[in-house]
Amino acid sequence: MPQEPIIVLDSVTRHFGRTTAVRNLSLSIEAGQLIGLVGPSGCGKTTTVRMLCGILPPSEGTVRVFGKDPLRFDCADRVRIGYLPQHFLLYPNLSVAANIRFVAGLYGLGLRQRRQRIREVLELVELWPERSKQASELSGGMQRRLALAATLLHDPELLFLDEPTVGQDPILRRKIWEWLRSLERRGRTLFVTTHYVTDAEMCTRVALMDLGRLIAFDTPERLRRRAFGGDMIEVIARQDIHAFLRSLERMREVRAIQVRSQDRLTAIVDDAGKALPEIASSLRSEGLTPDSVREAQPPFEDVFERLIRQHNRQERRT
Amino acid sequence: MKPIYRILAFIGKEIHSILVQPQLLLLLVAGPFAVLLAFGLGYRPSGPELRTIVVQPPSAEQEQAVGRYLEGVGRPLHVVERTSDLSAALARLQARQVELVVVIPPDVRETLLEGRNVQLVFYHNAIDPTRIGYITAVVDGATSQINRAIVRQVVGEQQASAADYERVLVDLQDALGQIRSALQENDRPRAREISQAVRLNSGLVAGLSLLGSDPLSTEPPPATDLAQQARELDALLAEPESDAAALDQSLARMQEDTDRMLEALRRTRRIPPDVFVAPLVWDVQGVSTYQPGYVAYHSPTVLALLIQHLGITLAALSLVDERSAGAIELFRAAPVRAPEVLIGKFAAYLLLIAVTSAGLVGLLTVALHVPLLGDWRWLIAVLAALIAHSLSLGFLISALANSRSQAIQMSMLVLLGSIFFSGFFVPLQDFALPVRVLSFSLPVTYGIETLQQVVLRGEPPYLPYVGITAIWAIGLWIVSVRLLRRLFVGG
Repeated sequence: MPQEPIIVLDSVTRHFGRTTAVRNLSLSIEAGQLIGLVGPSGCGKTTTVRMLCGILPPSEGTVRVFGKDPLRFDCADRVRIGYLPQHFLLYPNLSVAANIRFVAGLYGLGLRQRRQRIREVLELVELWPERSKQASELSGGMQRRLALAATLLHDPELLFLDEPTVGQDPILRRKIWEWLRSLERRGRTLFVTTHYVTDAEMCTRVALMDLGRLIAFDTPERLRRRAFGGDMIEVIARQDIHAFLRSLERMREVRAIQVRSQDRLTAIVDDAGKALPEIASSLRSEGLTPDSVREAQPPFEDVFERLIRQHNRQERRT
Repeated sequence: MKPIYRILAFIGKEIHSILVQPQLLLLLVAGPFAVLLAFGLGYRPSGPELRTIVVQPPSAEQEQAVGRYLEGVGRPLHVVERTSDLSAALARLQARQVELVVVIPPDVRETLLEGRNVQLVFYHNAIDPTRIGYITAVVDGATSQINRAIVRQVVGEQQASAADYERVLVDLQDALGQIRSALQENDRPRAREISQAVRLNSGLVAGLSLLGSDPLSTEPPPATDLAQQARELDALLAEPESDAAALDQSLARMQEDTDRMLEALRRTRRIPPDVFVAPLVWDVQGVSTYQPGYVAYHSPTVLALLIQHLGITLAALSLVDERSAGAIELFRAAPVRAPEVLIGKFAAYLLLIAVTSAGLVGLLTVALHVPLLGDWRWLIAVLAALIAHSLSLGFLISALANSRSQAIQMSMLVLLGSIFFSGFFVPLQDFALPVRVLSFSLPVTYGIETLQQVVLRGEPPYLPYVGITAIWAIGLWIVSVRLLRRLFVGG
């Protein structure tokens, strides 16, 4: 039986005066996924999240979360969501513990349950030893983790996290993604915005936005294939690179070839898993010994750049 | 249960936010204490001293005497110089080195003898109408004091000379007795001889008849003309055929009038000159159980104003701060309702201000010796109504203001309005009706009245005022909640 989508955006547009932050956005997300909303700054990610949380009404179109208009959420609905705003919105003059206690009260956590959950989330974000410090004394990264702890405190089933990794060092960024993955494994739905495109790989599905438009929405793998027209196999050879080029051009599996440098070629194939052994064997049979033949994982910067270019071209054509 | 947790979260957060700011805590608690203490110890209701230069013609005796009288007036008139140079005195007045210049005109004696008033001219350099009113009152008081002193001296002198008239009247009585004896002895020539002396003496005391008059009576004094009576007596004695009964009647009338005049003269001599100068004096007696001094009287007023200001500023900044920090966005996504936010904040501030108010009341009673004559439960009710009204007004400001500076400006405007329109300085009845409506929208207007009733009169507060304050508090709170709801919906 198909699962009911937990989030539905249908032709949603949001204007701010004469500026359009989100244009005709349609998305449908099922529960239990880690969704990444990726795109450059100002592309409409935060506006989308704020509309999904019921903070902003859309100018056009409909937004449905749990099958309801978020603007009409009652308290029971709001307890089911967790929202991490882009900026630190807790109280700098209060201690870490006082801030968390306040949020616990806001979400109606009972006193006994509260004590245990506060410790759990502060330990999770590694702020338990800092609980007596004033929030203003924390670094930017620590404040971000405090805000994340406040969002996770009531264990919501749907989390909207606006740039949770901003200001974190690479190790902590990875840790945060691991926490988010563990929440996903526990059946939570996460809607995470990030402008670190490399973070996209950590998501179940990625929505790519640019200038308020949805460019693509798929798994990271499929996006990569869509950007390059298939899987990529990289051939590195310090011998005559032209001989490798000619050989690859003759192969049926290879749909396109790119010369990356004097000793590096990239072949686009439908299925790298199948094509890789065949290409290696064909090269060897022609007496060509490459230094390396392997499946290539182009960085997501390239993937997104290509997808945006393709989208723009298609838009111009239509 | 969950709404209670949410309300408690706001109470805890607000109290915690204040407790972790020692400077704010100091301002909240010690600030009003310091203001009240400074008011209580520093308020001196007597008017300021007026440094005065007396300008008088050189070496004229009467004018010098007026100058001496001016010096004798005393505080607040302080004569710093006596001079004959008017322009130098006016220059010092212009330079604000003195507050008054009094010019005594020349020819004081001649003016008085011509039956005209001597006009003293007082120059001042004030522009403040209140100050001008004060100067006018001081000048009026000083002039009256000098006039009384002059009249006192004249009356004293007149009383001293009245002893001579008394002797004349006693002689007159004696002479009338001698005439009566001479007539009984049928010695008309001797009676006639004595009557000649009576004619002379009666002329001397003719004017004294006025002394018998009663200034507070509407009846005119009986006509008394001893000289005329003496002439008539003499004429009767001159006629040998005159009727004995007519003579006896004439003598009796003269005797009666002389007695009356003597009695009046003696009575007049017994009256001290001060009584003549100011026949009526006053004494004001209050019927309330306690007559407060200036500090005690104004203390509840200052207390009400401090509490109002504290309530308004705390509440006015609270929502603005949440908005500017972006926390409202957090509340919009959280399961919290606008009334829960305001109830939480309201309860926290009510608690904080109640503690501060208890301290202020303690300060009033212990340090400033203001008695709490009424029931302390009424005091709590009045303070609670005042705090609630102030907080609700503050929340309304907070919901209307878009920035911290707007909220501060609005709070300051309310404070300014409170000083002018609450009866703090100017009585409410001095305002036109539309302005009085403004007065009765301010918490402090009700606070002053009800606190004075409870603290200084020992009576229950005027209950309609407590009720109206509570209605204002609830009404403003509801409006604030509606405005906050609109903020929560956003857009």
